[in-house]
Amino acid sequence: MAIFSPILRAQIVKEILLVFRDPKARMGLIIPPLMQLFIFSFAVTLDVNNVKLAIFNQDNGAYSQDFVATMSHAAFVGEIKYVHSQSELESVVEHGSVLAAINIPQTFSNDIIAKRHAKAQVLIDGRRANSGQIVFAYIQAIASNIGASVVSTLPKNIDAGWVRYWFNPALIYQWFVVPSLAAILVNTSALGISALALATERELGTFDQLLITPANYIEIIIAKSVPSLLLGPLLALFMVAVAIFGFKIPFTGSFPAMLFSIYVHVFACVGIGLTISAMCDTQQQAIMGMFTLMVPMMLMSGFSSPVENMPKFMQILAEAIPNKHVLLILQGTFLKGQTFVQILPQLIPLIIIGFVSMTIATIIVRSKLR
Amino acid sequence: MNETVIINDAKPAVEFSNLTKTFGATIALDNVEGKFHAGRLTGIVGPDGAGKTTLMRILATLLKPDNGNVSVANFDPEKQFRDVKDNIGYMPQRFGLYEDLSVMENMQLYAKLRKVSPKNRQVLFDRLLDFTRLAPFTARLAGRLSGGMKQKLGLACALMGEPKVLLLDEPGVGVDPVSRQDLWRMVEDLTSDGMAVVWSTSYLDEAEKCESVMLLNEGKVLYDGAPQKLTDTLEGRCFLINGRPQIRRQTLLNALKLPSVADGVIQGSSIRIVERPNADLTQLRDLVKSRESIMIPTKARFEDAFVDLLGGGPSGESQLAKNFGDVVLNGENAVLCQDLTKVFGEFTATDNVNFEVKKGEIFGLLGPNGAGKSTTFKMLCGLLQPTSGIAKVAGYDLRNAAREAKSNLGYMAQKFSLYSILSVKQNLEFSAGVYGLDGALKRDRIDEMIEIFHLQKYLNASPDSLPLGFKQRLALSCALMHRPPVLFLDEPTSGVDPITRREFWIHINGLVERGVTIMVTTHFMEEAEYCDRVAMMYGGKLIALDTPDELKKSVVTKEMQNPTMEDAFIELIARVDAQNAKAKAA
Amino acid sequence: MSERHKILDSARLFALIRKETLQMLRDPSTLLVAVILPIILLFMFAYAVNLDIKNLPIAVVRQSDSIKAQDLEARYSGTKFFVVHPLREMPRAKEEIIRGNIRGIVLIPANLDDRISNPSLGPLVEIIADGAQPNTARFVGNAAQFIAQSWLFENKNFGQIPNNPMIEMEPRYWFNAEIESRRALIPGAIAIVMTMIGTLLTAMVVAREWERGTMEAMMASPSSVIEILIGKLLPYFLLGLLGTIICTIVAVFMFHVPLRGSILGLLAVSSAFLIPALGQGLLISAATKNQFLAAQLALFSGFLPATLLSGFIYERSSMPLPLEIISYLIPSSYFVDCLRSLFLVGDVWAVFWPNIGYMLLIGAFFFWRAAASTTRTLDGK
Repeated sequence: MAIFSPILRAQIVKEILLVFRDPKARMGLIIPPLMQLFIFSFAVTLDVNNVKLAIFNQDNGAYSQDFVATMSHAAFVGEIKYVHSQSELESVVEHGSVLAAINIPQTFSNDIIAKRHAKAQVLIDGRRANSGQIVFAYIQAIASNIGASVVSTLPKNIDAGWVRYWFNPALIYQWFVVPSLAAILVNTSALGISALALATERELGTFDQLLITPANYIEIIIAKSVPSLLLGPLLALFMVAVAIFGFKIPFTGSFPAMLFSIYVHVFACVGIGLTISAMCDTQQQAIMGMFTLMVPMMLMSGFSSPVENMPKFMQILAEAIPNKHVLLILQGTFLKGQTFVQILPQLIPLIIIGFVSMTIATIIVRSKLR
Repeated sequence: MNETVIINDAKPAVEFSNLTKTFGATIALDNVEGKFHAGRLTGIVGPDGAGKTTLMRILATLLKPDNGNVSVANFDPEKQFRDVKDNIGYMPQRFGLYEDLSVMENMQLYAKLRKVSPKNRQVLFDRLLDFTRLAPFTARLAGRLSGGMKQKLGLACALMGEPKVLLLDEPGVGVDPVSRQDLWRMVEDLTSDGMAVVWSTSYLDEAEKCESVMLLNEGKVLYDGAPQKLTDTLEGRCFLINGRPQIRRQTLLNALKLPSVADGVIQGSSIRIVERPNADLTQLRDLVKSRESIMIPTKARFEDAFVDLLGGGPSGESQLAKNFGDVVLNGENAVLCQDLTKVFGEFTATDNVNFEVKKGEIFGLLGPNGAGKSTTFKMLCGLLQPTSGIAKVAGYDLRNAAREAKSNLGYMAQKFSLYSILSVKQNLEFSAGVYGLDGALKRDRIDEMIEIFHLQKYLNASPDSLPLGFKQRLALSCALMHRPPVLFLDEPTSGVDPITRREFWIHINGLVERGVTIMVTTHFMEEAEYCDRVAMMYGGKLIALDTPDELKKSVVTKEMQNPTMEDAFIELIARVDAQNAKAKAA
Repeated sequence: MSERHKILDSARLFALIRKETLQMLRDPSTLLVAVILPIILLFMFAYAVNLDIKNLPIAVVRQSDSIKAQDLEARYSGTKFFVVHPLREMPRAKEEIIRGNIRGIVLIPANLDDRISNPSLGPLVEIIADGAQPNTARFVGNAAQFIAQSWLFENKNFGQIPNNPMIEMEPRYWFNAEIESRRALIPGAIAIVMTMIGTLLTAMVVAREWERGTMEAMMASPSSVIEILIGKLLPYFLLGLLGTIICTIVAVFMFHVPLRGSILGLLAVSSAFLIPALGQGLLISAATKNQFLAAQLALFSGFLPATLLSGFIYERSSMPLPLEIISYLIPSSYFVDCLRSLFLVGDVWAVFWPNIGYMLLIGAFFFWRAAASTTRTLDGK
């Protein structure tokens, strides 16, 4: 039987219509990715700005004035609250009205003038530990600058090290996020469509009808994969276009290699989605099941923190997550000029995941026929 | 508070006048008027779209009428809806049983909602469980009950709090004759206690048993009164044609073309004819004579009267059958089951079933819910793998030639299983394609179906929005576009009114003439009469296999001279039960 | 009005609650969301979303064989930040960084010893970080620089001038002295689980009653709409609180996160959050009456904002204005705010009260809209 027999073609047309015909459902497929694009590319940055700080300045000297003035003009600062006692300082931090509070002691300017070590205490809200650490680094940098201007008259220091950032010299966060989105959106949409594909037909009673027809389970699986295989790469390409033309992110690697990887990625996600779907009897179970799997898949993919940082067993588990591999491919082909050969270490596991999950889905669908 | 109010006989339990309800441009009820009395069983009958469900919902306070006066148990459903709710029991078409709760849990829920005091609860439960014969299943989840048991449980739940008015919306759909008998028994008990029971149905044999019927059509009342009175108007106009059963379908087809014939159906090996009032019967008599048959007068039934009142049954030839072409089948048997067995864990659903269906035969598979007929059906469709034995369709073994077997059968179920997201046209295209049709052939077949079934104006609509009759036509089109030699019908007309059913069977009868083999399951005994042979299943076993007439004959006793198909069904099962009980005792 | 006609009848209500609870306990997906998901999420936040970086693979390309160079390389191998791949050739290191096998390169130049004595020759080491992942790159750059600096500082005799800065900022992390990121992430995990239970699960079960036709039988029974709704919501309210408690127990006993506030405070803010969460679920189901759409809407109006905009990972004040405004409209922002204080500080009612107020306000809005779209009749007239 030819691959595109009328039987298979009819099913493919049906699946495409099932997913895209209903205008409400169509909105459900298009709006969320756009929302995610917007939110992810602008909100998801660990850069901190518009921060509220408190300063308790007990020193009248020039250096403290200088320090406070520099702080108030710093790019990351949104508002400075001037407080007048240690207890007030503590209370603004406790109530969460400021992220950090600086206590400048009386002796601050005098110490600098006397070329002694000047110290100021920074009280940071540990509830927001990440932002707190980042803001502290900013504050420290301002302090060192002022310190450096004082010591600039002294002989030159030895430079411990120069840092250069390859592939993204200015460390623009969007260069990382926007290409990654191509992978993440494909993951959510392909998983969402395919996880419901079989469960919905089963709940609505059309699945038995389908099994009565001459269509066999392999055709059913193929047809059920098509909507995701169409929409997924389309979404991904849209994101890639946004990245290249909207955010002006350089694309330096092999475009065909990236495109191919995206297809393989969709294939792998569909396999996982269909496996969930084949196991569930109701839509509710399918959605909850998809969700319980999707959250760890996102979090372990290396998008929010590096995989090397996780415990060993999680790193092994992460190998089974398509996102993990395709994220590296996207970063590599966009920024690092990766070629087809260079993406192979990521592409091969991706292909394996795809075939394994598709096989499992097929076996489960087949076993339901008994 | 209202316990002291006595609904006396003079005042009807339900009364409405000038009742009108529209949904957009559709008029569901058009200036309807009626009275339902306490202590009486009132049937609401009518074809699909007549307004039965709308009326029920208005009485149950779930819809507000556009116009008119309504009183339920002396209360206004609009203003005094809480009082009405206290006094009614309501069972919607898809009864709201919680499938993941057990029988007892469902009953307790409704008892508490209706504020049955814990003291009375046990007594009431015992009575209802006894009544419904559900006592052995109290711990079973409602979702695991058979269709008949579900309806009985639904009724039990609707009866909590001893309502004064009981509203039942098509409770008999999908229920086997044995369970339906239980339902009737229950309802008769209730009316004798003084309850007003309103039973909506499209089964006319049910309506016949009601003390009073209201016949609705397109939102208007066509008849209101005792069913017998309506039936009486047909006295002397009903005949049975006996003679050559082999050509009875052909004869029926010819008879229906005659202007003097209002209605005609197959009844076992006979044909039942209703003539038009004061019609000239010469042509009919000539036809009967030419077929070497005889015509004898017979008693009218309510269904005859109903169809007559609606202007007679559909007639004419099946264009579908005409275009179908003669069926070629390899081998003699269209369907074959040999020692067919299916075991689920400890439970044997189908136990060594043997039968064969010949080409061009209509073969009925009957049995109570859970008798194993759907398991057998599923094995024949390739939905289940037999544990042992052989299942063949059109000469192909489902085990090793599933694709060929499946390509040779068409399948249609009442549940329709059409894709509601897809349009009518897209459903047709899918069905054609998935059965391997392609190119010009595919286009031709689709166009043909659209033309035959007049689907043109619905092409872009969703199947859900179609009138029932059209939905059925669409489902039949989808099952037949690949012109299968074997057609499986799974409760094809459950809940369908007699007119639509007749229309459907005109096509089926025509197809049989072309050599198509029909295999049908049904709970509707009228339909069983259309079959050439009927297999009865019970407890996973085949307990009888014969023509409908022979089955009826087999249960004739002194008390029951003229058993109906339903009587035969109930009696055959009772015999097996008795045998089993004896074997157990021994 | 008689006794039977009370809008809220305790016996009827109790029967409805019992029914809902039984159904809830029988569906495996309930268990999945209330018990399994919290554990998975906390596990993820404890280990996978670990922003405390360590064990990053880097290459140290040492081009000098001097004792000092070897000592410096050993310094890099000796820290918890890095796993060092010792290399000698730059091209090889470059290939490795392109392939993503390493996150950075520290180049120790051939003339390291000369550079120590003559600063004008250039820095001690040259650091290259993989900018494809900016957060990690920044960390690699800083840490690699810091190691070189402290090595230099400890070997003062190399240089002429002490390297410690003139002005020192002394950090004190309040409430989380160990600066463990998991502590800050736990509240987010709870907010996500509660959104799932309160909004997603509730929206789906109410939509299911419409789909299966059980709602019609319910509405024809003497129960009032209010009873039906409360009967539906209360079990999920309790399931939500159970979810919180499970999260808390797992967080405290498995991941050793302190709980400095009281159980009472925890239940109070969780209860306040469940009001808008349930209201949102109810509104969604009343508007869609369809499980698939309900799930879609709940995910994108509940889950996504709770994850990304509630401020538990990403600072709300750093977002662009439109998103910041949205973050003020979602109840999970206020909930996350309360929970952070509750776990790390204690019962700070000055923080709780305004947040509880906002949550109830949003809840009232949702219930108002839901009540308006839930009518006694089937066609909404």
